[in-house]
Amino acid sequence: MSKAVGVDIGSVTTKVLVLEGGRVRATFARRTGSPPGETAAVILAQALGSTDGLPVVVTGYGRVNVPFPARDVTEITCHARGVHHLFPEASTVIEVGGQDAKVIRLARDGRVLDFAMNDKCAAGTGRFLEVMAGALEVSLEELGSLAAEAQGAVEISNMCTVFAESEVISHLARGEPRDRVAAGVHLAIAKRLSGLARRVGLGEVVVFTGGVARNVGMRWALEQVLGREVLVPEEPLYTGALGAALLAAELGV
Amino acid sequence: MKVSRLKTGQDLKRLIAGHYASAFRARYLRRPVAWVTSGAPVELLRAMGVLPVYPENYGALCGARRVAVELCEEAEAAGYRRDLCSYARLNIGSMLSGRGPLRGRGLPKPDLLIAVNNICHVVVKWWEVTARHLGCPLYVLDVPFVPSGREVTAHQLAYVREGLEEMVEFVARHTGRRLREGRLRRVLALSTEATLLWRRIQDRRMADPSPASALDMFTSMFPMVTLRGTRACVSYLQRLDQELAERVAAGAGPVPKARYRLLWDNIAIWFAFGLVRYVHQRGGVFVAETYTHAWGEYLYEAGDGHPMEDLARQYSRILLNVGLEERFRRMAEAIRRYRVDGVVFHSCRSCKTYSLGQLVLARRVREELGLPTVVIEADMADPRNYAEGPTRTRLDAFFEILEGRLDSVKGRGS
Ligand code: SF4
Repeated sequence: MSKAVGVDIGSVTTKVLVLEGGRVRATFARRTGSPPGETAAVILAQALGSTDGLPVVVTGYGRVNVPFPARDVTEITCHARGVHHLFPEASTVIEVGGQDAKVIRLARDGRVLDFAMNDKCAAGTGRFLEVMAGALEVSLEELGSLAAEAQGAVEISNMCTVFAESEVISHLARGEPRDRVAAGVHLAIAKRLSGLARRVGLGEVVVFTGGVARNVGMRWALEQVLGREVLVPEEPLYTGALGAALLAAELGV
Repeated sequence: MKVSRLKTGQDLKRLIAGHYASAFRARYLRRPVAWVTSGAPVELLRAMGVLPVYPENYGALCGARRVAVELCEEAEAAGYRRDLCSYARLNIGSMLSGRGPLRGRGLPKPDLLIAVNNICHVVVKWWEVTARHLGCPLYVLDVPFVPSGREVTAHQLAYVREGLEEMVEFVARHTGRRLREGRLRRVLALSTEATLLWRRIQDRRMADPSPASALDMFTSMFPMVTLRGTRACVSYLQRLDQELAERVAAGAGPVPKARYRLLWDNIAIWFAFGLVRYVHQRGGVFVAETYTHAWGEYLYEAGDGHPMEDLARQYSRILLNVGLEERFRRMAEAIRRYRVDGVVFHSCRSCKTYSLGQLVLARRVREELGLPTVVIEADMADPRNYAEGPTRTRLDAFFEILEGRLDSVKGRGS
């Protein structure tokens, strides 16, 4: 059976996805480390021995100059491809990773019409949530479920990670319950993402992907702010790698 | 045929050096110097024998020479916020510290200051600060904004004209120089000649391959900005026009096999010309820039027209003083005339007047003209507001959109 490989080298996590005969055969995820292409090379060697002759597409922030033969395609095109495959009717993709966030507007046939990115600061990304979880002394998973189950939410007005952290701490010091603070944190990010989404125009069917999409609180907050259902793939972490593998299979590169 | 540098680049270097040398020498020649904003009616000053110096152009120079950060930091240490336009910050920093990229010091002190609010309102405060610091007389010319869907009204013309006359009096009072109409008409004729040449030069870029890209034009515009109304400007533009004509005849250009003809919006990123080269590598070439086209607007009627009224009209209609509708009209016209395939919007952290509204323009370009667009975030002079990697990713994605999802990947050799 013909194989195709997608590699998504994010700033935090490297994802590898192997397609065989059009089905997902295997997935791998590890911390990226440095230099960024190294982890991917190790995963490929362990999982496949050699990628000689296999079509490989690499995407993500570490996509250039990887130490193995591959085509590089931007994460915008790859996420679009992955999401279109999973949800053919998707028109807006919101992707939040470890250190960036982006919104992609799709045409009916899955082509990218437009995109907007936040990649200059940690606000509204996975890193932001990590810091807030630290301030609330809960794990990332707990942070999400706290938010989704909260009764009401506090207002977090600062989007700078450092300022927002001290805002969270002062809310707690004032005796605000942790769930309300957690909800406030997620709503603040969701508002920022909604601003990004409005830049490219919000479509009917919204899909939320990237590592942060595993967070149930984030999905809840997005639905609150956008006022519509938000779809999440079963394995949102791998959407970019899936798109890359699909492109590799199509191109046979 | 691939060509890299313009031969007239040598002339350009000489002109730039000459311009700043005369600013440094002016005191000995007893020639009054005025610091002016880029939208100032410089023809009046030229006609009165006053040498105009452009701190904004100096800002571009500092950006290109990569000394903007250290100068900005001087201003920041004095309390100026990083949100302030980097041209303002670096000039204030240079003024406060006495440092700068030319002759190891800042620009020599001017005799008078002229600010016009037809580009932004930052310049008014910036010029006020300068006036206070240097103890220099300042004239602020008020040119009201021209909203969308409206021509310059008779009332506005009369109002700006009065301002211009007042400005002439101000200059006369502080320099002892008079404005003679014959001389003004000669200067206006030279400005008009330069403008017509500049338009012809731009139009040569309709050719395929385009004989020039943004790199050539961002630098070649220097004389249009600082030497408008002089003979030197006209003869330089004649040589440039000649050179581009030769390139067109030879089918030569910086990107001979370009697949995508692009338009650039906003000020150049002076410290990151590598980005334009990257666009070339990816098969794109800039055939037009709203920024360089903005200098092709200074046409004055020869003969009977009233020169002051002409000036009032032209300086009211400059790119940053008109509504978004008119900006879109000009952009759409350039897209059509230069057969543009996509638009790169530089969202410039410093220049709010230029950058506000770009998202609306981008949407209209996509929806009404059906062309892909990309917004990159940067600054014209301060590299601290710019990140190379993410910017390249955006451009890569833009090219993938341009190429169509699959061809993009196929088209690029591994
Ligand atoms: S804000 Fe824009 S128009 Fe105003 S001085 Fe700065 S760069 Fe020039």
